[in-house]
Amino acid sequence: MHDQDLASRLRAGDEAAFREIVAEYGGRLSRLARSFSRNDAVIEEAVQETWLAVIRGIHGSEGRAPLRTWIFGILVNQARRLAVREHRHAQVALGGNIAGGSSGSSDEGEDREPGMGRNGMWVEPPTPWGFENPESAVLSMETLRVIESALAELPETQRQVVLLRDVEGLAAEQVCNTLGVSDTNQRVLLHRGRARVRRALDRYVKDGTLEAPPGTRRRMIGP
Amino acid sequence: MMNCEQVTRAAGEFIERQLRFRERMMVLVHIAMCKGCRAYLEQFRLTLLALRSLPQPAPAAPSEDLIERFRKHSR
Repeated sequence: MHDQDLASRLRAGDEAAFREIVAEYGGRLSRLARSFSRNDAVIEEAVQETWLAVIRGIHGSEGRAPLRTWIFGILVNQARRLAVREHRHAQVALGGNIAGGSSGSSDEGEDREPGMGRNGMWVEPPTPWGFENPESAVLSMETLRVIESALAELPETQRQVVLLRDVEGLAAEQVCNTLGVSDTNQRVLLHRGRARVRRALDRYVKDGTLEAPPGTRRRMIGP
Repeated sequence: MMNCEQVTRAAGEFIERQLRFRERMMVLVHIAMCKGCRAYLEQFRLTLLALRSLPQPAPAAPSEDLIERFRKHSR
């Protein structure tokens, strides 16, 4: 409803609505663009190009996808285009081929969880995390940071699907349209991405650092 | 009868109640007997909850150049 209202104000040329949309979506677009490129300049350009396309296209957007889906769709197209360009430059600079970004959809066996036997039964079953209050434990800032970094480590297409479905709350069909993937592929990528994030959280909990009071224990990163 | 691996693969759809009745029942029967899968599904549920609760990035202010383009286009 909020988005619909913003979209009609935008079409009416309401500058405040435009400022509001940029404020609300700017960081979210950068986050999604980061799954296409690690280059800050490319990310910034993708977001900038998205806003220019929004300005140009807003009058023709009536009755199309919801505002959010429309904007994310533009970003995906821009980020892909710029990532291809960046890739081409890198290939020229290195004078050879660079392996493409991981699609996350070809690696066989990824769906088998650690501890799962070949017969499809647990050899080492997961054990409960044992929180007294599980919801507040996983919603602590510390845990959310673990989730964020696990998300950042996902292969790019898994990250895109998880970001759009779970973090941005798009419906499955909208994700398929935005990324141009089939429903089956979307489901596989979503499951793999979520499963990897669960594993990261599981490792973190089993390390025993999750419920430490803030500042008393710090997880060491790097050597 | 579902095995543990099939239950793990159906985790998201089970939690989001997107499984068909028959599959849902198969998962429920399985987890009634399997502690490992119960723990797995609970961890998966908490993972989804956390993903959905990630803080949104800080608001971004549009550049004056962008605003100027918006104004020109809206005229």
